[in-house]
Parts: sequence; structure tokens; C-alpha cells
Amino acid sequence: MRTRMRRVADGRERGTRKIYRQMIFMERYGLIIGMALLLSVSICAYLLARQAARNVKRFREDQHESFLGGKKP
Amino acid sequence: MSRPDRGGGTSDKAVLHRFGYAQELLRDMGGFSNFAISFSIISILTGAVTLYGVGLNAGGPLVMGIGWPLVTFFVLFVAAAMAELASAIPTSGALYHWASFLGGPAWGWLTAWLNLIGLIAAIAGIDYGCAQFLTPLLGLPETPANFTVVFGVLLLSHAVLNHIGIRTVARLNDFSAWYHVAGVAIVVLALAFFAPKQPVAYLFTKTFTTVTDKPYWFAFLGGLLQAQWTYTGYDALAHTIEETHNARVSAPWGIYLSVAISGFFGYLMLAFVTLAVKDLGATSAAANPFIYIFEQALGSTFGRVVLWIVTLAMWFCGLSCVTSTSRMIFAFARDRGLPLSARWARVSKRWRTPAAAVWLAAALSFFLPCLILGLVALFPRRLDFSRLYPAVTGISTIGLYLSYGIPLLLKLRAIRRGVWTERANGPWNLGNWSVPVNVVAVIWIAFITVLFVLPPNELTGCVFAGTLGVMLAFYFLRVRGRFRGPLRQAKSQEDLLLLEQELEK
Repeated sequence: MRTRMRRVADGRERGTRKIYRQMIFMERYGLIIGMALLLSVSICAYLLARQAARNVKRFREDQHESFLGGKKP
Repeated sequence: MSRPDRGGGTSDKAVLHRFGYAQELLRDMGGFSNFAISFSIISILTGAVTLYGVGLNAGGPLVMGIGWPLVTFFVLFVAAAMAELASAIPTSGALYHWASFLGGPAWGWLTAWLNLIGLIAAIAGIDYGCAQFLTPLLGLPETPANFTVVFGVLLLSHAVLNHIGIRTVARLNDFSAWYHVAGVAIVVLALAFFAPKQPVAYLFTKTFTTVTDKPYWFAFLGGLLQAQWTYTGYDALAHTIEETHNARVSAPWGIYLSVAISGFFGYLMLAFVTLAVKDLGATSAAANPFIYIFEQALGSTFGRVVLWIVTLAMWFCGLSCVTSTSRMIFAFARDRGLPLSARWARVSKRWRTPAAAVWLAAALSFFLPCLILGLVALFPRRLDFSRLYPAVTGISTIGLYLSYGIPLLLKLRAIRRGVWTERANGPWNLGNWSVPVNVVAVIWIAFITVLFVLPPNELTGCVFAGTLGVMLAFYFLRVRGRFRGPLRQAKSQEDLLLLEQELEK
């Protein structure tokens, strides 16, 4: 059983049709998906940081009150 | 009102006074120290290494190549959403205070306990894991008794250092941040120059799993636990916010950047390690696949060097985790949310640290693996330590992420009801992006909570459901109506200043 698990895992023998299809799909498109994902993460991280940095700058110029009701200094 | 700080709000102390709290803890951490504490808890050298085998067995190289960035992507949303709240409500109670202000004391109480359970399980998971690595390195036999003794000594070292001052811990955390970067650099450079490598496509196209009774995608999703467990504990920054200069800007940046930088260095390390795999089957079957890869690629001596690097990283990670947990206990006890609250809220006059809370955090963390070992000794035929222990990491992940998710969900509710307006935001905010970012974060947390209790992690689900049941019973029987959420320490600013003068005497 253990040997068969390894063989399935290695892709030499596919256990079910579902496993086979998903593995083949990743083997074909994995590189594109991976690169797109890495690019998305980088862009997303940058955009979120830029948005926050802009708002920090804006906050410095226009000081806000706390929502707890503190007065404007 | 005090002079404006660099964040554009009022001074840190004045902001704390607005929330009704005196500046009891020593505010001595700079922005980098604050970032370092979260970076050390995320500790890519701890989470990614100890659970490398889990990821590899579940989905093979794809879990490293695609799984890690996928989790990073969503965790960035969670971190950004939490950073916004930290900037708006900069108190040590953090998640628990956010939930209390946004949803009332019941939500606050639930969040606090979930966070506490997650943090205690995290310390136990990290330090016991460290003991399992350190015991053989010290030449001691690998028995449960030896693991427990080494675990106790590690916890003791963390408690002592946290007791004697935030300054010492901050310096160690600063060093830890550079240590992690250097550790990753050693691993990456050694593999890049001296190890044989697979082609880059191997990371994205090589499907592998040892799970044969479920579809590949399901096994792959289970492997995400590796990355998700690594990305826990970054709320530490929010817990130490009362000890941070320019807290409303430094702490949110720290939360966000600790995740982003860990994501980058973690990916770099995992990519090079995975590309150095020679025999996938043999690697996945090894006791520690990460170390096995080094032994195969660079020899056993270098494998031992990496083992030492990882063990020390785990020690740093445990140290930061005790800091974070003790601040959480301190804040919750300050608001009388714990049994014997007055005792746990005491601050050491000499060191200006929550000394009692530090020792409670260490004691509870020591108790958890001892309880598991005791149960295994009582029911040796029914229970298996090797199965029970991974459940601790699952409980830690779910407990922490649920405690992150509750305030985010409550904030969305408050925005919808018009209670939370733009004026409630702190300096670090996402403006119009806030709602979509919070929505994505909440959906991701809900998804992983369900995912990590599905088979083969059903044990985690059972233990967590049991704990939650006990907590809710305790709440309805003993706490409901008595616990009022965050309490102001004094009615006026003059009284708060008096409290601070008392401590400075």
C-alpha cells in the first residue's frame, strides 16, 4: 500500500481520474499561474503600502479626532 | 493637549489617556524594535521549517511555489486590516479592546480568550518544538522527560528576560530580526552555490502528494497550514503598542511590513530549499525533510549547522511570543477579565514590566504539553502524542486567526451602521480601500478556520470545539453581566498623571 502511495504521489501511477486531471493541469499551466500569483502579491503589497503611506501623510496635514470623542489639539 | 507627534496625532501618552489608561509600562521601543518583535514571532525559520514536511507531504513542491505566495497574498489583507485598527485604538489589549469598543464586552471577552488560547498554544508549540530540536543537539537522549526539562528551561529563560525589562527584550528582538535575515541568507547562498538544483519550473509544476484518498487540490489546501501557521503572532506589535514611540504609525507599519518582509524572505528560502530536493519520495518520508535536504545536498555537518540556526531562531521566536502573551494577559487583567485579575495586572515597579503576567504566560505554556503528556500516560492505547501535538499548532492558528477576524467583522458592521466613520481612523488607514480589504480578510479567516478542522485535522476541530464550549459555558454561568469590557483606570487626566507619578517614585 505504502509503495503504491509513493507511486501515485510520484505521478508514475495515478490513483483516480480526478488526481490525474488536476496534476496534468498544474504541469501544463503551473508556471504561468505561479508567475501571475507572484506578480499579484508584489503589486498588491506595494499598492496597499502606498495607500497607507498617502493617508498617513494626509493625516499629518489634517489632524483627526479620535472616534472616542477627544478634542482636536 | 500635548505637542503633536510625528504621526500627526497627539503624543502617545495623551492618546493613551484618552482611552482612560495611565502610561504604566515603559515606552522605550522604537519603530524597528516594534517591527522586530513581530518579525521574530512570525519567524520564517521556525514555522516554515518545522512544518516543511507537512506542506511537502500534502502537495509537494507546489505548496512551496504556489501555496506560500497564495497565503501571503491573503495574509497581507488581514495584516493591513489589523494595522488600521491598531492605529485607531493603540492600547495593549489590542484585538480584545478593538472587539470591545466595536461590539461590546461579550465580543471583547470572547476575542480575548481566543487570542489567549492561541498565544499560549503558540508558545507551547514553539518552545516544545525548540526543545525537540535542542535535546539531541545537546547530546541528551530523546525522551519525553528530557524534552519537558529542556522545554521548562527554555521557558524559564524567556520569563526571566521578559521580567527584567523591555529594553533587554527589545535589543534581543532587534538582533533576532537581523539573525533571521542572516539565517535565510546563509541557507540561500549555501544552496545557490554548492547544491545541485532542479529547474525553476519544478516549483510550479511538480505535483506530489502522499494523500491518496482525496483529490489533489484538497491535499494541497491542507498543506497551506505550513504557511498559515508561520504567519501567526504578528498581533504582538499591537500588544506592545503602549511601549512603542510614535505608536499610531510605527506599530501599523510594523504589522504590515513584518508580514510583507517575512513573505519575501520566506519564499526565497523555501524556493531554494525545494529546488535542492534530489529524491522527492525519500525527502517526504524523512523525519525532518528540511534538514534532510541539507544533509543530502551539502553533507551532514552543514545539516547540523542549519539545525543550530533554526533552533536559535525558535528560541528568539518563543521569547517574543512570551512578551506578546504577557501584555495580552496584563491588559485583560487590567480590565478585570481574568480570575485574580488584580494579581496579574501588577507592574514591577523596578523594571516597569507586567512581571506577574509574564510568569503566568510561562506557567500556562508549560502546563499545556504537560497536560497532553499526562493524558497520553493515562490513556496510552487511545492517545498518541505524535497526533496530539500537531493539534496544538492547529489550535494556535485557529484561535489566533479567529481573534483577528472578530474585530475586523465588527468593524465592517460598525461601518455599515454608520458608527465607524472616517474620523474614527488612525493615521495609518486605507481610506476607501478599507472595506474591501476587511471583507477579503474576513472571508480568508473563515475559509482557513473551516479548512484546518477538516480531515485529517479533525482532532484540532474536536479539541477546539470542546474548548469553545467550555468558554461559552463559563461566560454564561460566571461572566455575563459582570464583565464590562475595557475599564478606565481613572476619571480624569489628573488622576492618570498621579498614577504615573506613583509608578515613577
